[in-house]
Amino acid sequence: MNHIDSKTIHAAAEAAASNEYEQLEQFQAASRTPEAVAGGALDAEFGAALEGLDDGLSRRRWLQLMGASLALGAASTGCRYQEEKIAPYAFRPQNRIPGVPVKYATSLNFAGVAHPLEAISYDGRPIKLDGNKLHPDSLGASDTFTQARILELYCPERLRSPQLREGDSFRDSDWAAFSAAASGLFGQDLSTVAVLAEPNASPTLARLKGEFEARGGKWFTFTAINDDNTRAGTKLAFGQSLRPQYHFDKAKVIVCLEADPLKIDPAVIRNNRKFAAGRDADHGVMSRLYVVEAANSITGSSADHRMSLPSSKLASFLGALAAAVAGRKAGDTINAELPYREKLLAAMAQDLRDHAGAGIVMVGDSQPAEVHAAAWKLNQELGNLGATIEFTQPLDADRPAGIESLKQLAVGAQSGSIKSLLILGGNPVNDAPADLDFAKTISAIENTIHATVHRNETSLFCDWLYNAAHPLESWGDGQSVDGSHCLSQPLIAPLFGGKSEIELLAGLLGGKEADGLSLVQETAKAALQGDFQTAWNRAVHDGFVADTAAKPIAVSLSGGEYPSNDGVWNTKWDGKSLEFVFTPSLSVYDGRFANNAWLQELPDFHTKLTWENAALVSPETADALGLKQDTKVEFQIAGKTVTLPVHVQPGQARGTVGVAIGYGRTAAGKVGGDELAGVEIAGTDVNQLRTSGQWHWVGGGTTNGKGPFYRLAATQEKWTIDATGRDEIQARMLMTLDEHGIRSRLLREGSFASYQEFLKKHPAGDHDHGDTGHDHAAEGEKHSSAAKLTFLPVINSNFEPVAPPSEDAHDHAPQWPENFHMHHKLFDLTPGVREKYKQDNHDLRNVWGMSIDLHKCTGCSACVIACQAENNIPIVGREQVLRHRIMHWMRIDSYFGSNLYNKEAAGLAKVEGDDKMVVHQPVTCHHCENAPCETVCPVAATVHSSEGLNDMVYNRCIGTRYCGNNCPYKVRRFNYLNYSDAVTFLKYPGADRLTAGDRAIQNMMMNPEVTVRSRGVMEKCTYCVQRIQNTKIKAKNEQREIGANEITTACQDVCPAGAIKFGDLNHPQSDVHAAHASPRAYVMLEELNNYPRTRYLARVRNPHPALMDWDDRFGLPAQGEKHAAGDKHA
Amino acid sequence: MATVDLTSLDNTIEDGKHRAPLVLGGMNYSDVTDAVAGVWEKKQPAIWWPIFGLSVSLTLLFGALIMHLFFKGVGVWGNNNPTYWAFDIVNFVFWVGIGHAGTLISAILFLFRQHWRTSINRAAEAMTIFAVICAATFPGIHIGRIWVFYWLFPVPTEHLAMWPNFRSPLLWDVFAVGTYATTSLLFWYMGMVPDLATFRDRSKSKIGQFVYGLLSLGWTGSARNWHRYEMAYTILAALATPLVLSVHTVVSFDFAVSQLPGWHTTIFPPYFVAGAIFSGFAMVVTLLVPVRKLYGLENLITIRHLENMNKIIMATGLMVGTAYTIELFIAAYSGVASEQFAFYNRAFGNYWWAYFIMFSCNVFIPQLFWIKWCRTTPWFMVIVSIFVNIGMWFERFVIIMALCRDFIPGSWFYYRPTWVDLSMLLGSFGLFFTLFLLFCRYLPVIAMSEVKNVIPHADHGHGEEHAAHSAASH
Repeated sequence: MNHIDSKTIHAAAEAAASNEYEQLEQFQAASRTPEAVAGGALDAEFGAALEGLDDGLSRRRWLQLMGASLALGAASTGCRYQEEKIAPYAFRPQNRIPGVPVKYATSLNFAGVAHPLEAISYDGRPIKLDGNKLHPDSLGASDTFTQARILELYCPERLRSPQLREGDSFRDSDWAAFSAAASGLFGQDLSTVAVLAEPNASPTLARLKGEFEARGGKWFTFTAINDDNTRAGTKLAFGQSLRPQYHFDKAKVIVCLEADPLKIDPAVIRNNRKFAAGRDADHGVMSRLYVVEAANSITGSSADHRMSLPSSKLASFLGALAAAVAGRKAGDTINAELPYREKLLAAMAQDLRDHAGAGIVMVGDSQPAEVHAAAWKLNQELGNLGATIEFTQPLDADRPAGIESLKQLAVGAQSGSIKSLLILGGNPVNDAPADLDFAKTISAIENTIHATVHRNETSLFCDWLYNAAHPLESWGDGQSVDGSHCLSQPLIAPLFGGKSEIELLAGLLGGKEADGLSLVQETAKAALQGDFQTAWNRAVHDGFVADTAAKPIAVSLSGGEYPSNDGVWNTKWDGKSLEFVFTPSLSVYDGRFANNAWLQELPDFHTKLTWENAALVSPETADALGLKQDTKVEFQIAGKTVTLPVHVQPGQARGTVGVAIGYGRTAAGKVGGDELAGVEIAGTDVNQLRTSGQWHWVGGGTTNGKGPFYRLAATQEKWTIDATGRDEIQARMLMTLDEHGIRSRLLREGSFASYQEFLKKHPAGDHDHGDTGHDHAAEGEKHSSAAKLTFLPVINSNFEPVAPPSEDAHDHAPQWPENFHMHHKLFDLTPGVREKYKQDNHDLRNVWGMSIDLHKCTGCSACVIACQAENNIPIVGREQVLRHRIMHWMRIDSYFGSNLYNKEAAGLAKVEGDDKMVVHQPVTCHHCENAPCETVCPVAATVHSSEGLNDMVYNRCIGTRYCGNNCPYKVRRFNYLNYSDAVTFLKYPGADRLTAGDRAIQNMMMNPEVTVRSRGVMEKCTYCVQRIQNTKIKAKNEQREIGANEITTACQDVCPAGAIKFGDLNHPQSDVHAAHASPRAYVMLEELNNYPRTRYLARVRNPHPALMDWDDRFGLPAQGEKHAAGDKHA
Repeated sequence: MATVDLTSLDNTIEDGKHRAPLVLGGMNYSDVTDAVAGVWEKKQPAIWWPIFGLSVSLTLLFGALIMHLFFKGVGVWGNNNPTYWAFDIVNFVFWVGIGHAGTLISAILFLFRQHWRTSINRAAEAMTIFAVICAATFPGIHIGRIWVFYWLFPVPTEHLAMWPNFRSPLLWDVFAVGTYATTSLLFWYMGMVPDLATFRDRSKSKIGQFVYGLLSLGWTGSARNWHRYEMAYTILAALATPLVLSVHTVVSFDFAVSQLPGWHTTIFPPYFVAGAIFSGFAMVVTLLVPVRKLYGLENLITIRHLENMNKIIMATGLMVGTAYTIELFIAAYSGVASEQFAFYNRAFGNYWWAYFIMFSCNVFIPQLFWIKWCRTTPWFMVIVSIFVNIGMWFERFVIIMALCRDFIPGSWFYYRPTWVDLSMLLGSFGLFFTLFLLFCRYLPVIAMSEVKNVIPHADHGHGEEHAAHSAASH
């Protein structure tokens, strides 16, 4: 009785909160019952949450609670969850089942465009961000930066109230004081008021900007990583500022000149997707990617041919390329006698000529506008414009270049014409070119306000700091890269109060508090068709307004000249002078993520360094200058000195030093470093070397090459590992045919030509449906897809079990590259272990497996962070990384090898610069059927499930670590210390000093579906077992089968290239079934007889035929003999 | 009683006609008792105290570091992600190996009627017990969640509600080491009962009389006592003999059963046993040479005893040398690339220095024992034995460091110990020496009753000829 009554009370309270006033009487009646007054039941059920209710409900207390609930209820809007209630729901709001996550569409502005997203929210807490599956620019994928934004939301160091400067420090203030002060600056006449913002694609902000400027205000824009040079290039070439839209799927030849469309690009997700689509080798579609760049980039590591070249010589290279293209006709041959680099240039030119109208020449933002304009001219002449490249008008086409903007602001500040400055986000003091000395500019302005989520270096120079709401806490909008109108909705009420940028600005302009929702709605009116409310609801649901993508506009070339073909690009390095090339950090970007522990600890895709940047030099440069790995060396450049740790790795252009920006921040916070609070600073700041004239690279550096030892925290052995190790790595990466014939190797790769030849020899029908086609030609016998999966139960399309095919069929299934295949049967001493997948298994359909396509993987590491976000994986900190105890369940191994197709490039002859092979291999638990980890665990803490998962039972594990020793893939991670303790979940320096409240905030981002592991326990990838179980439960409740590709893992969701497939190997329609049946599929370390459930798909590379004089796989000359070798072992 | 000039007598000379005497100095029964009980009765030599102080300090350090480990986690060691086991298991295998000599000397040499064992078996057995204590500490504390260590044992608990995984070699380890420790302890203690009774009878303090009285289990020295004692001793010897072989065989399974290149080899069981005897004998020599000197037991632990042990060291050293070479050959011959690399890397890779130390200490240095002077000069053999112990520690280190470079280069990583690792290794020596020094102080270091069996018999007169004769008659 008590129980029911207490529920009634809360039902009434809830109803009241939902504005159902007629039930107040009901509430009062219920609350007057003796049982309710006694309060015991309430206390037992709700404990401390019912503070004040337990000794009878006083009228005053009830009014307080109800008043607060009503106020909060009324304040919450739209899809934003209501404030925390002290009583459960009596009438459950729509779409809200406690414990069941809800997905909301939203978007985040980043890199000047809106990224359409889908947020997973658990009981009102957003815990994961993914791409918006409905939006064509994302289709569900996202990248590392997006994934890590969740951590930023729950950062306990966010500003919690407006702060007012007092002397050298700040004191907490409040909204009333701030608003009074700020409104005072924003009068009707805004001619002495300026705003400095980051490039932003929000139409609402643009609208407010227009209003602001109309009243005389001055608007400046700056950010460290931008597309200013691209815009300037289009302005030079076409007379207007445009955004190029590349169609990598339509291109046959792609030439990237220091461009990184696959990582540092506003269109990164779409580019990856289209690039992968244009390289569907299974269906005979394969573009060829040439990359010329100074420092390694993600795009460079995906290239078919990569030439390293100092940034300063790129213009000359483009001149030579233009001349070569002009001098060639379609179908010309290439002189085989040319030195390698010239031959590469000729091949590039010939390819562009041969595929006129299906090529892309793309220049990166580090190159000046003239080089961009020249590339447009070349594209125009080849007929690529309008075919593979289109242009749209960006929202902020009129914005000046960032550096220019800052210069104007400085002039205004010095002359006194700007008296007040509102800085919306950003960190110009840290990021601006050293010669502009932005701190001085700020100091010259009387009143400065920094509206920011985190305090940063810029904040330290401002008078007022405003605690802006995080984008995930506020209404907003933005144009995605294709121009469509995206909306963002709040997923949680602002954790620390505050308003969004648009609310703040609109409030200041309008003189009264503005509401983000109505601001965004007002802007959206222009884009929405039909009934506003219906269209709006639809747009909020979808996350964007359909069919608002910008239409391509026709352009005509009006400027641009080729750089002179002076041959400078082909000159040798003098052996002394160093060119510093500044690259965006793939972890902390321009430094804005320096306080994000997930990103700080994300190994760089290439160097595998965490928590710091380093001076990257090629082995040749290091030799010439006596630079040693892991030493801290002084470099003198342009009158300045910088001390950087040295990291030696192939791929960096000779004579250049690649160094990532964004490190060495002095006021980032407890993660990235804080000089004032005594927190160690992560990495080295190189912004002091960057001036407005030499912003992307600067030449003339020198060094004596000597310095003290300093161990860099890398997660993989460095390239400078001893000779024994390096030789072995080279030998293990790829197969070379030796007297034993068959050797399984970690990586498999072959040329597109040889793959096509293979497909011709083994006509496979449709590979996508798992048909491996004919076996050996002599037999001509056709095997079904099942033939490849002999060790799995086999069902037909009606889900009826059928007899497993013979083992022999498996042994002889054709594989590409040939000669890799191991003969299981010879080695299979324990077939019984796997019998349970064939017999007496009631869940025959659920045979989980994964495939990872090395051909599509670019090494972007988005999967690593996605896994971290999904599975509550802790950060360990730099010291622990040095001890090699990083906890990531998914790691990406990167290997560098000699060129496989060209003797000269392989280093058989000296070449200036190199065209090496780079392969990234994501590795996570393989879920072996014959799992070596399981047998050795003395307490049976790791066991096999009936569906073939290698389950880890955390609470049974005592931490003998034997499983880790016996795992050949080394994917197990041990909690050597208490990494996951709430006190130190983020093992950054100072994390243990967090208050209980701060820890509670951090705990909000945990995925409640995944156990948080304690000290002394082994952990590893589970194939996202929580997602599997949830889907199984759902399907069972709905009395249906699980869909072919219904379950996705976190790493699969995030991958923009679609390299990871997961699902039921036994489902004939599943992607993973098809992938495992592909002739490219192989098992890593197959000889160990572990029968892993994860398979890799061999990489296909598409080198230019004229640059192939060496066979890819057999160490034999390319022509003729290859076939013989192939036949011998097929 | 005639005495023989100790300085001139050399019982290492092989004489085909006579067996060399095992007790010199013409000692009779009471001389033996006086000499052995004297170790306990007389004041300890001055050096005992500083050594004991140092050992106890190291033991305390060991204990403190164990607490540090318990409170912080295994992360205080240098273990990392490919190298999940490091010093913890190296030390474990090292100490278990040391613990082999005692039972081998007591049981196997007993069954083979090697009478020279009598002077050294007690100390060797004590050493075994202490080494096993040190050894058992490491796997006990190396697990991540120490507070549930008992889940390793097949005990029904509501926490586990299941049996341990009987397929795991770690579980076999628990059984093997547990059985070995129990049997060795029983064997040692039982063999000590007659001598404890002697101590009881000679003790002048009340406490001594009480404690030794309790420990000697009412021994009277009657024929019935002796009859049962001999029976039990033989039975225990027979039980302990297979254990000598099984313990290190099972320990080697920890490695051999895994599939790691460098671990996954069938040669491990015999090679581990040989190595264990090798290191155990070296440790016995290291301990007994100073003991016989300090306590004046040269007549009981004679040069011939030491020489015999050195011969065994040399023989087992050759065995491990052969094993090292065969390992290399098998790796090369196998055609398995990862195995080939594992052994190549062992010899020439990142831990070449450890391999170099191992090979020189274990294979080259013991070859000096071919020279008679080397194997009969006490101070010199101690040096060689210490080298052997260093080499054997490094052998285990070299084996375990195969983890650093296994199948996938992407997860290779060089292991570096922390100060805690090094201090705990030192601390375990502290514990070992503390226990051994206490043993010397309070327990009969030589099996008096057994030595009396091999004493040159007084009833046939005196002199070494008779002594040799009577020794032969046993």
